[in-house]
This record gives sequence, C-alpha cells and structure tokens, in this order.
Amino acid sequence: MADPQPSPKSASDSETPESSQFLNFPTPQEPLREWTEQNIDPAVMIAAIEAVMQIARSQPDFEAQRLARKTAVRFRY
Amino acid sequence: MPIFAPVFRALNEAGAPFFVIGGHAVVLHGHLRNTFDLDLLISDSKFPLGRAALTALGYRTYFETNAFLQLHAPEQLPPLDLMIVDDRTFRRIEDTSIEKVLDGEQIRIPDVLRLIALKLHATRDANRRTSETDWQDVAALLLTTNQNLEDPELRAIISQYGGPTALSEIGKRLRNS
Repeated sequence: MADPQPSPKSASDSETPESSQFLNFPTPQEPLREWTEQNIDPAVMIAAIEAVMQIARSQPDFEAQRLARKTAVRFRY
Repeated sequence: MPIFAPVFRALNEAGAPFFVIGGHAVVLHGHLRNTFDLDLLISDSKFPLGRAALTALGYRTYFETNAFLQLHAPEQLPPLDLMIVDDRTFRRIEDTSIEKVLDGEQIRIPDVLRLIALKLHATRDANRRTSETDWQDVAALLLTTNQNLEDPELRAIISQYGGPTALSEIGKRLRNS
C-alpha cells in the first residue's frame, strides 16, 4: 500500500514539531477522555492504575490518610 | 485484569446489595476525576453478609464505626470503604438509583440528587480535612448533569444536608468552574 501523500500546507498553518504528531497528543478540540479511549489500550490503562495504586498503598500512613477523609456521622435520608 | 469486579461479584453472590458512591459514582455521572478508593453503601441488615464476603476476599478491618467500615485491601484489590445506612435510607436511595457498568459488571449508583445529598453530608463533619473535594464534586455534578438550582427538591436537599451556608459555598465553586 502506498504511503498517503502529505496534505499541502496553507500559509496560515503553524509549524508543528514532528514528535508531537508522532505521539498524537490530545488538543483542546479533542477532549482528553475521548482521546484516551481511542488511543490507549484498556489493559495498559488498567496496568497504569494498578501501578499508581501500588505506589499509593506502599505509603506507611496510607490508611490513616484515607481515614482522615471519612465522616463518622451516619447518613440518613 | 479486573480491579473492582471481584468485589462486586462477591457482594452479589453473598446477597448483599450495594451502591457505588464516592468518586467512582461522580465519574459515572460524567465528571472525570481521579479516585483510588472504592466507596460502597450498604444497608444495616445486609452489612454482616457483605462484611463476610469481603473478609473472604482478603479484606481486613482497619477502622470501624456504626457509620462506616474502612478495610485494608489485599494485593490486586482496591482500597475499600463501606458506608452503612439504615434499611429505610437504603430503600429510598434504591428507588431513584441508576444502573451502570463498572469494570464490566452491572452496578447501581445513587441518582444525582441523592449523590449530592451524600456529598453534602460529608462536608458537615468539621473533623474532616478534605471537604473541599466534596464541594467541588457537588459543583461538578450540578454542572455535568445540568441541574437547575431553582429546583425545589434540589434546594431542599442542599439546605437539609449542606446547612444554611451550602448554597453560597456551591455558588463560589460554580463561579470558579
């Protein structure tokens, strides 16, 4: 299959570094959530979440910090 | 690899219905934000069944009151808290709850007004250090779900669960959004 031809640039096009095109970073016009869903394998995302969770949980006062965020007052509705 | 699904399956198999609340419920209502803890709401009558199921998964009690149970998680499972409510409260939240899918499992979350009530309730504990997150969640939920601040039910919930200054606190966050 032939490589697609690059589209001609207009005079108003700004110069974009090759590296940012390669990485396909999200732009403000492309919401981060949609970009993430389209470009990141769910397995990679889950592995990243797990890694962050492991780091957080390895902190010695992790459970104490969680406890500080809780309310001891019972909720009634 | 599933993170939350083993917890949901264990509770369902034990016959202990629950709602996902906290940050994950906020995310499922459409406001994307970071959260690590899994917060679940369970009724008094099903709490023993739920606790036994979670203990069988490897969770251990870190702290306990009559309002919540903080659990220390085993490897590969999320930090978990159970908020405990009376059966009447559980049923009333259930009446308007919404079905969602989280980690491949069908779960239920409170509708936005009941979730706002829970968030506002959390802001009223003077001992907590992080109520700003709850205020921001309330403002984000109102914006994300297009709530009308003139709605009488919403205003009643804000007043009852957030107190007399809640409306102005919410207004501040909405202006900063």
